Amino acid sequence: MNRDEFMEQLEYLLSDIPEEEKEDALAYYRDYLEEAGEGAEDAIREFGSPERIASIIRSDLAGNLEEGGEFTDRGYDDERFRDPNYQVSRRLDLPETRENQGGSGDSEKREDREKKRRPPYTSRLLKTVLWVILIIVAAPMFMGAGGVVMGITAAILCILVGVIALLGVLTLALLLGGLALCVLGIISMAGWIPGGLLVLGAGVAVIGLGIISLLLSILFYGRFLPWLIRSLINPLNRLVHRRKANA
Amino acid sequence: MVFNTGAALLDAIVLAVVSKETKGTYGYKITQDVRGAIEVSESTLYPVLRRLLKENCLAVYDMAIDGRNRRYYQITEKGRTQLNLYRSEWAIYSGKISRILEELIDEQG
Repeated sequence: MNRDEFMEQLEYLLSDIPEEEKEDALAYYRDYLEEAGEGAEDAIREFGSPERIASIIRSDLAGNLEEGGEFTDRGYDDERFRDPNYQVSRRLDLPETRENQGGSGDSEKREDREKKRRPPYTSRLLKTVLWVILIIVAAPMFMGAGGVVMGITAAILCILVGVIALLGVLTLALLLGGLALCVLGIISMAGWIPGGLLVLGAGVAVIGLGIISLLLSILFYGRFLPWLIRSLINPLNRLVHRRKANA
Repeated sequence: MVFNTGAALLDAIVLAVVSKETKGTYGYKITQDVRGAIEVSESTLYPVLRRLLKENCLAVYDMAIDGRNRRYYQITEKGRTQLNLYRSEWAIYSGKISRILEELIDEQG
């Protein structure tokens, strides 16, 4: 690669940094290669590649160059940029490599730190599922003594669930059915008006029943169920708290 | 063997090299002078010069040489103060290290 090719590529690679910084850097390297004269080829070889030089400049702008280099018995060296065949894939100015700069040992340490900082993984859903599984698996242990009580409780609960579901479904069915009858009535009025009116009337009546059922469900779901749950949970709560107080 | 002393020593060397030229000196020559003392890559010094310039330890002026501009670096008052600090710190540091290393050699001999 000759001097002009090198400068051309460097200029292209620096095209997104601030204009002033770009001009300064380009002027420096242009001057440098001119002063080198005969030695320009050697200098370019030592630069490695325009990518490497661009990366050093950009890392410096990003403030990543401060802690990199070190003195060894062979002089000053920044091992991140040591490879003369510096490749684009290793560019330090890109965010993903910036995270891991400074050698593998350093990044391992950083990973360790991140592991420590991260709180243990929890999930409300997972916990609930695990609790349910635990209860189901552990249920036979309690079956002996409290089996009958549990059976009755379960039956009552099932009936309750049935009623809850039935009321909802019934309301929905009445409302939808009434609506369907109304539509049907309006359509059949085109053929035979008295028949259509009858169907329409029936539909309106069914909707009326549906509304009553809806009001009932509102009362049932809004008042009765909360009351039932409260009256079931409060004694349990009191029981637990009394135990805690005794202990 | 690695003495990891960080970038401050490189700053000190560059300041020392530039301070020797009262009229100022330019990038290529600074690099060659530094390379006369320690081994650095030809691409090492641009960020160092840029940083020293930003910290006002160096100043630049342009002068036409052979029909083109050459950028000259000169040490500033602040740069001189900084260099003196580096010098005294280095004298203390290297003195201590030398003393302990030489004591060890004496004991062995």
